[in-house]
Amino acid sequence: MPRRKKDIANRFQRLARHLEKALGLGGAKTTRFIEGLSKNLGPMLENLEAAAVLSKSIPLDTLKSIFQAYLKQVAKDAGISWEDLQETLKDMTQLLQEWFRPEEIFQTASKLASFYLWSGADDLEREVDEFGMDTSLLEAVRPLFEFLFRDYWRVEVQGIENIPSKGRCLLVANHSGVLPFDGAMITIACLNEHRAKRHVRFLIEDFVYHFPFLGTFMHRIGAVRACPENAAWLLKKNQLVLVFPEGVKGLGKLYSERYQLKRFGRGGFIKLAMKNKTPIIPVSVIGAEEIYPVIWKSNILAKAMGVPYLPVTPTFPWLGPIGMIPLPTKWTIEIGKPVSFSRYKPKQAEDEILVNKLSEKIRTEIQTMVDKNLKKRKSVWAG
Amino acid sequence: MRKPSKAAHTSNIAITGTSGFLGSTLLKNLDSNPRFRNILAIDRKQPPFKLKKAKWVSFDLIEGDADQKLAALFEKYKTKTVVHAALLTQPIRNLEEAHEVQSVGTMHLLNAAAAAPVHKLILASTTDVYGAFPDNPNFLTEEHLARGTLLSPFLKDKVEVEEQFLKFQKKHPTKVVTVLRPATILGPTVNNFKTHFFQNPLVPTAMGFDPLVQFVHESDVIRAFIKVLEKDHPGIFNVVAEGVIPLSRVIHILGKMPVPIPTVFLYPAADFLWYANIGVVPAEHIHFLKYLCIADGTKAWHKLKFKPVHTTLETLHSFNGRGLDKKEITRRLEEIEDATA
Repeated sequence: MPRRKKDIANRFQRLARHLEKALGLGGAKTTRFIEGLSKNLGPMLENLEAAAVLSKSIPLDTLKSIFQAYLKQVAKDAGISWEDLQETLKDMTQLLQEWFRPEEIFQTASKLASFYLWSGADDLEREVDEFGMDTSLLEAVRPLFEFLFRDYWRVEVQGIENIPSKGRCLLVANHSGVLPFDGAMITIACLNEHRAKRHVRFLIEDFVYHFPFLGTFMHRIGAVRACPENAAWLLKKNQLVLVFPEGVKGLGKLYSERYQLKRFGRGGFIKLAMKNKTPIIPVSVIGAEEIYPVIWKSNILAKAMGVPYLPVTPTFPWLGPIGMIPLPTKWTIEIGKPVSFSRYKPKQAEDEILVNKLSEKIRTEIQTMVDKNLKKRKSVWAG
Repeated sequence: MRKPSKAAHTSNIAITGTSGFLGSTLLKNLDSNPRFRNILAIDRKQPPFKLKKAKWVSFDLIEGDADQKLAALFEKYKTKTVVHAALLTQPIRNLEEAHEVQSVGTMHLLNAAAAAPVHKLILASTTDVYGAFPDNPNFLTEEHLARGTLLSPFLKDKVEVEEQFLKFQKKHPTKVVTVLRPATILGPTVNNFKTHFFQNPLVPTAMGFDPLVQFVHESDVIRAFIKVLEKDHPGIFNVVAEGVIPLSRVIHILGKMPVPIPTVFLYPAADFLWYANIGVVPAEHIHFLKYLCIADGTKAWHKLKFKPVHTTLETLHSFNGRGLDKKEITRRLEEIEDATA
């Protein structure tokens, strides 16, 4: 088993180099390519969407061929060789096929199904905690997350010692990646690398929390619906809470907006820290903002499906479920120094100007950390 | 351990709705408890068991002149405390009748209590009045709005009854008004639409949703009622067991088969069944299969010194015929007594 793991890690390094060759280091070429896509694709898709709404009958094949021709053109304009790109895709598909063996997929799926239908039929006395986290489900799916953490995104964690071993603490991070993978990776980072192996409770947006299956799954592995009452409750119980003040605006960021932190809500996390005398630890996540390069967001379709946005990436929804596979970027998570809030009185949480000032301060701090780590990074794929 | 003094008698209690589950269980308990005296049972129907010392009066709360008659009755029996449990336990199709029984019956009761020298009023409500909504926090405290009004006429009436009680408190500040909100009550003898839901071999669930649920044991609910009967505790209190369980797990422990149905079909199907006289609840109640409605019992612990003996999981086991043994229950009761002493 360990040998196989090492083999996989090596292969992912190779894939990263392939991607570098095809798309460049994630610098100028990739940006040109994806920005080229978004420049013209947005208007084109809008027209198509309007046409589809009007006539309801555009054959899918036509759409696919239009898109492929368009992709080729943009790649050529950006100076990317089409053959290299295809080579990389082939390599990636092969790697994924090797890793996701049908019987393994079947095993994981049946495990999840049994958890869903019988909540794990084996053990009758097993209980979830008061927020619905099921540690045994987390353990059951942990190999998948470990794979993503170690091999796929090769997450590098810096400054984990800044998280105290006990006591309440509020982690504040930049948010991205369409699905809250960043929350899951920070959770794994704390479980793996922190000396006290603390469980992180991360707060997720309503639409993820109430999304069929996905929401329940996130709930069981430790996510909590984002609302002030829940956060305050967790802090009172001296938990480690992770929040993404950018919220949905951050999660559905466009590729062109990557690493530009959005507005930090209305400073709810600052009020929480003041009221509960909780230190805030800024966290920067590098790499997550490129796993799904969102080039356009469909509003009409999203509304019909009841989600806040429907992302369109170079691979999704064109390639179907395969297009949902995130890109193997290299991640760096940096955990900053705690900012103490003990000198503020709970009453000062009413002072909106002060709250906004502090919220901006934390935001700037995270933005600075992000910028610093971006400068250090040579390649999106290999770090 | 401090033993309750022999002199501490509570007397002159009236209970409405003694043919319902909660009313009759409470009546039975007080009837056999030497610490309670002069108990009056008020209901249209005779209590389903033989009374030892309590007295039953046949009475209909929704009659036109019920308030005067009831006031006279309270005068006659020198009633000091009224427990109002004459509420519906499950939704009925006749909305008008439901409104009469719950809202109008309560109005008559409160009018009578205002006219007679009644000191204390206790309402048996439910945590369902909060309603299951996507934006509920994981734990609802008593300060949270009771938003069941938005869900179904059944819960709307329940919220209205509570509002009437709270208004009564404002109008009569010298009297004591207590609202107890127990979570879904389970136990060896309970029997209502929720237990029926769990007793079917196939249990419909909302596909992709698995909310956490919370129960409270029937004996714990009775203990909470006794707490507020013995001492004055004005205000609203959630009466809940500790711990939560995912709905899927409840179904599994009961040995039933879950039938996940996509929510797009679930609502119309439930509506159809409801109007076809087959379903037990209107479609809006499916929210309880999708979203959280879990209350926090901290206030009851701080103010009432009430702590449940059974956890949610133990309550479920007890309902399933695997209750805690008597020794364990006495041990825990002593523990709670010690903690409050």
